[in-house]
Amino acid sequence: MSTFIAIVLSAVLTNNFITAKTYGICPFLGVSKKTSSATGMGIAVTLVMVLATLVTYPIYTYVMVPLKIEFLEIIFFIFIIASLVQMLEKIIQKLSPPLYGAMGIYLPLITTNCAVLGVTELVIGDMSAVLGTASMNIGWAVLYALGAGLGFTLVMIIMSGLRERINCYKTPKAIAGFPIAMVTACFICMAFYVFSLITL
Amino acid sequence: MTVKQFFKSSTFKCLITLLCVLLVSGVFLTIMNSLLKVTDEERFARAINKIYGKPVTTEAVAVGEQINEDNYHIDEAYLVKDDGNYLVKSTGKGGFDNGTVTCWVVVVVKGGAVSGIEKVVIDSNKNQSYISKINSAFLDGFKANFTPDVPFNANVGFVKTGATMSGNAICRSVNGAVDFVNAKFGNIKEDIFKDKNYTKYIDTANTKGEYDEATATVKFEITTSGAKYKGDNKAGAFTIAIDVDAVTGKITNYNILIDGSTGASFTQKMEKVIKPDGNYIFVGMDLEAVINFLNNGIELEYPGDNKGTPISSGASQSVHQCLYAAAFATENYKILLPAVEEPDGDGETEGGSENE
Amino acid sequence: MNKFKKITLDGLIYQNPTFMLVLGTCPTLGLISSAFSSMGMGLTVLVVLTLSNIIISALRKVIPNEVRIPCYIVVIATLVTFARMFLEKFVPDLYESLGGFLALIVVNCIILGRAEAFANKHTVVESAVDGIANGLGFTAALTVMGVICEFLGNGSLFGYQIMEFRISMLAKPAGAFLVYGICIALFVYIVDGFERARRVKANKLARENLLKEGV
Repeated sequence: MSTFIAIVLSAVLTNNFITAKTYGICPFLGVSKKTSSATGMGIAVTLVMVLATLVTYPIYTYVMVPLKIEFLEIIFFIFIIASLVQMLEKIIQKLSPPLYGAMGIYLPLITTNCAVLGVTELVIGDMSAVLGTASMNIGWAVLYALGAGLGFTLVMIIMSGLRERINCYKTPKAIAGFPIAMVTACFICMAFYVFSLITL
Repeated sequence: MTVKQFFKSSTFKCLITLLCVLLVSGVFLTIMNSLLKVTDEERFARAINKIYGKPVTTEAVAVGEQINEDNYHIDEAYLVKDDGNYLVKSTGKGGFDNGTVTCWVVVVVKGGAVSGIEKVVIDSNKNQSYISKINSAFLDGFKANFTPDVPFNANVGFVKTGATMSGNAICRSVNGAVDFVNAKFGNIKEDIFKDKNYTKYIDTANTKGEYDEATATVKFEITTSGAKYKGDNKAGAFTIAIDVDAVTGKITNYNILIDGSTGASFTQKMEKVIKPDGNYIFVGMDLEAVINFLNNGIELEYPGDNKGTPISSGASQSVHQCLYAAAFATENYKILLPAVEEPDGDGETEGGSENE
Repeated sequence: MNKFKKITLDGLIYQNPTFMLVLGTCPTLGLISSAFSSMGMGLTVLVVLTLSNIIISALRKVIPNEVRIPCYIVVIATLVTFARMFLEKFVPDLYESLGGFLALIVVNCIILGRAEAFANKHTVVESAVDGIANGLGFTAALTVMGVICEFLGNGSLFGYQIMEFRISMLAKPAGAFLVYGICIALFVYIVDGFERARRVKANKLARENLLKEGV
């Protein structure tokens, strides 16, 4: 139980992918202008993260390590992620066109999202800081991916809310757009820094 | 479509191109992997270079069972043939954010016991965000401060780095290397207090006691383990000298040798509780009195709800360690008393010595 | 020659990937607290980008249009894996300081972006120049920001402690965002200023020429 809490807390709050690890910044800056698109992107990213970890972790642990081809992991992983994203796009398009209209357009962008490749690379590495004495298995890996995606979505939604507010006012041309968004992100990071002081 | 048409179609061309690219990449990387592989030997050679600055001949030494898993973990050990010293890779626990620091320690052995530390080099760490504050002045302190049988304490004799907990973990790592070399190649240091009562917050490996026949007291020098408490500002380890009367089981002398409080303000608050009028309250207490001091009568546990108890002082962690050391002494002094001689020999004593 | 000058200036200044296009932000922000890591990351991306541009440009007539993205990804992934092996063997300090971001170069928007937008339409030499220019722009931007954050946030420069005064916030992601935002604003402002001055001068020259011709 404590491992469960440690993983969820770490993935969502203390080691949040955007505010602590600075992964997934491209969509964070690019797609966070409106809350609806931010939520859509967040959910799509969470879905891809979970599926990607579900596929890449077993392949790495049970196929690549015994065969001693770990050095091919980047190629394998990015290929798996790209294929997953393609398949997911087709499936969502067929199953539910309105859902596709809401979030399907972001799916191709997720292939180049650092956060997805980042989480698959993290779970095959040294996670003893988060797990403590427990050992990594597919369950904890997927849980971590889920938590990371939820944390990502959370920060995206906060950012989009703030940006919508800023867009109501006229900002000087020099700082409009990216600079003011970066300063906003700075404050969000400062707020989330408090969570990193939690010790279990 | 026919087979011929398939071979000419664009789908086939796409697949073939993709397959070719994948194949070429795979072959290229496999070749590169065998060419550029960093073997374990090379990693070790790099560590040697960091320590000695030149290659040396070493012979691996079996680590065997870990002596004290609480504070440190011995990873590897080598005998350096060039200078006869021992090179130990030891991981010290209890660092910042529950992390560890792994160090290479060069231990000098003379006359069957560890006689000094030649060098300490940090290999890696987990979660030590402030590790960059540990500078060479701190690491040089190990060579300068070595005293036989006295464990290193980051509060005594080292430069202040501002990375106290990383420093504590490094001290534990070096202490572990010394203990390991002593155990393997020097006098065996047996931890007689290991599984006894009231040892949870005591560093039993670095605690010693002996029975003084002249005064009929057991004299302890107890080192507490500061790191098991929760919270950010943990009190460090204390070293306390406690004398327990062998007959009554009461403390006759109590003296704090090394104060593990993290600041003078905490020492003051602690002394208000345990030394209110200049004399330690523990003098004259036996085990029952120590436990009842907390008004609970149960196992001394921390952190607990200390509001309203005598321990509540604003320096609870320091007070608790002093209290716990008193409980440890009054409980375990019995172990060090000389055995009462049997009137009839069981014949089990080795060598079959005659009873006197 | 003019063509190469345009490509170089575009990659370095007018289309600087970090400050103008805001691409490849993950390693920028992640490694900003150490000037050594920033410069190292910049140089690694420079090498991978140039090589990838060269290879993709060389293969641009061979790869069919439908599978071009997967092929590009495989090529880039191979180069990144090779870079990782190379660094682990020959420059272990840089390898350790880059950490997880080394593997993430494969999803760096800059590399795939330049491959898609430039390398598959231009010759090998042009693509190589473009790769070097963009890589240099990226490296320069990262190094400048890395120096600022490391000096003000940690009091050190490339690992050498210079002063004891430090603003710890600048070494954390919060400070990274702040410095990055300010640098973007400053850079765009300055470049826009130059652009405007250049345009004003060009307009003045054109008007003078017209007047001369009219006479």
